[in-house]
Amino acid sequence: MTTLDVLIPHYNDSSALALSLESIENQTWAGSKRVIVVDDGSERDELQKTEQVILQSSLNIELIKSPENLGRPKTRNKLLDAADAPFLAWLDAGDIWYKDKIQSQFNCLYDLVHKGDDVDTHWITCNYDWKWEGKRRRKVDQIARGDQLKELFIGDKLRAYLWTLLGTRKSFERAARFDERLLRLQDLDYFISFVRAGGRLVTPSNRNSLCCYFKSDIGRNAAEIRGCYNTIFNKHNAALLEFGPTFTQRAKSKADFVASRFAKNNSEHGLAMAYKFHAFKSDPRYALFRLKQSLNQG
Amino acid sequence: MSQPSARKTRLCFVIDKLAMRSGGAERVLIETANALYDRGYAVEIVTHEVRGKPPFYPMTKGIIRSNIRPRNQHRPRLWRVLGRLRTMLHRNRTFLPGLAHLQWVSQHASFRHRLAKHIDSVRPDVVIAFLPPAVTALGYAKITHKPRLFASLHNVPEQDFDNPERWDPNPVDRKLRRNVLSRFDGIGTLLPEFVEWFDPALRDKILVMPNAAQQIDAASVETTKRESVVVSVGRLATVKQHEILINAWSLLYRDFPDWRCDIYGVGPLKDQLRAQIDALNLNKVVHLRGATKDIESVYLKASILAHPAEFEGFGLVITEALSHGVPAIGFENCSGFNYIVEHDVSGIHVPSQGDRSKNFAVALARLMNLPQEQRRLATAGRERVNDFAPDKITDVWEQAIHGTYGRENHDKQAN
Repeated sequence: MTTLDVLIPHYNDSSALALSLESIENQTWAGSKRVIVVDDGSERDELQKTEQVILQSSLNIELIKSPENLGRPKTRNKLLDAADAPFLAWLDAGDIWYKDKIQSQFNCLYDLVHKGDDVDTHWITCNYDWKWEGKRRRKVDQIARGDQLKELFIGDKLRAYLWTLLGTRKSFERAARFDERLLRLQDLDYFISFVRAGGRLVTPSNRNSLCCYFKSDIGRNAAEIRGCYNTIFNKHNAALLEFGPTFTQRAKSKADFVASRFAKNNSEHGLAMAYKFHAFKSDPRYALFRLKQSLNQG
Repeated sequence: MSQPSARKTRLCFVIDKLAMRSGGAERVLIETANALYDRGYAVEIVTHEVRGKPPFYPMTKGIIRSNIRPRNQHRPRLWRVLGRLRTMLHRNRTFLPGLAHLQWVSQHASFRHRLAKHIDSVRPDVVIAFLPPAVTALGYAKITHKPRLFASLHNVPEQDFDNPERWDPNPVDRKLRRNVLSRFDGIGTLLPEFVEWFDPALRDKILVMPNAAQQIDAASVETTKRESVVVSVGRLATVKQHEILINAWSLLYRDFPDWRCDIYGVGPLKDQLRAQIDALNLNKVVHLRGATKDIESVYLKASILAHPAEFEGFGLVITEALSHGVPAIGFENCSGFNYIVEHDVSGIHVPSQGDRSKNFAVALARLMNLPQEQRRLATAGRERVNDFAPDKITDVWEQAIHGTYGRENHDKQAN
């Protein structure tokens, strides 16, 4: 039995998958691992190329094919069902891990065991690089201090990205399943569910970026993003009630700014302005802070 | 029956209040939620309460607790003042037609409304309401999403539905409470004898689901050193009839100078019972011990459980005592007690006709005199408790969750 299952959803992007697999091959961690790729109904040509990529890789890879495109959350649930190693890590096709990622995160897990903590209640996240197309890589720190639930709702200091994680299979079961209604932001819902279920995120002592996210908003529907935020806010309203209406308005305003960014990057300038206006209505102080920040950055 | 640990089935337990509540139903809820979480279900417990405190009983990490009531401290001052005025209105006990309905809406509609919104946003597969306030709120919640709805009742039905003193005394609430049961896919009740109370049209939906009894290892029961102590455990409330036990003790304590009677529990009758003990001059032999977190040690030292209650929904105390090897004495017509304890096999049924205190004293004296008889009853009692082993009861809960019982199940199988 392998020690680590690496779970990758894939759809119509074999070259991106090749990049991700290569980064797994280069890991310094020498334990036994298996990569599970669920292909989410890629077109025939792309599927053939994907099979070629997998054949050429030196990794132990299991390919599961969906006959039709089911969407990211269902694919991730299929990955959860297929995994049976005691430890799990996630990667999205197209994103990469740096060579020390898994080793650093296992070291952090060993530290937890040494301290007598329950590893099944912890996820190990890490700092990462954020790379917009045509721009330089920017390091993003994951700050696991403080109230993690609050930080996840706001998403400034602690962000919900699955590919930063390593944890035990039991720890991932704690967050139950990916919500199949959420075509976007299912990571955020999954993280919030984990923390609400008593889970805690920790970061390794290695504060370097341990992976890289190649970010693009192109082709992503801003209204869909905002709709998914609404679903998450409604679903976790009981948690928001703990923090009060001021905090909730801040979280909603932040969601409007994210939707506005997606709209702007897809040249929907009117919609982007509408979201900004909505953000101002929700939390004028935060909207003005963002405006000031934006002016400062030119 | 138990599913793999994929947490594919999402369960939502609903109870009105849970914060720091140490009652039997709250304990059953948390133990059931823990057991089902361990069997691989995703579990959420929804409450609607002002207090933001944690539950009294330990909850397994992984279960999500959602209090869907906005916190008072986050509300504007005017709203809080209005809230206080509404609370005063809710204390009204003169129920005039029309106004009574208005009072009900003011008191309960927000729970129903928030619950519907919550269930529609979380979309659980099964929603289980515990105790009548949650049952009423869930039954009348306007839910778009259609989960399986299950009502879990934890008392004698007459007490839950007919007694004007229990739950909300508003007649509107009592009427709605009764009528709401037809909206549920399944109803859980504690004892077979309770089924007859329900409308015949509902009986196919009913599943008898006793409470689970903690199993104690044989070694600790067999090696423990018992003292000459009769214990009684339960809330100091009218229904538990502790005054009968105290009267009974006044009749027998002179014949049993080495014995004492310890009463564990808190409740509104504490001062009254204290006065009764003083008046009968029993201070040295009858003790009100209050609440304890270490009831296990109490049972392991005790020789007999005295349970003079008028009725029981189930009687967790009885199964607890039996599992610790303590034989139980109670009235023959006490529901729960007479279901769990068989007369002269695992305990003693006291005649309920005539002078009840005297009858109780006679039964107690007989058993206190016969240590061998205590051991025989204790052995049979421990065997009886196996029928309520947690695994068996969790199996019954899985039947409730999946609807694999009664006519619903037969129809499914036929299709």
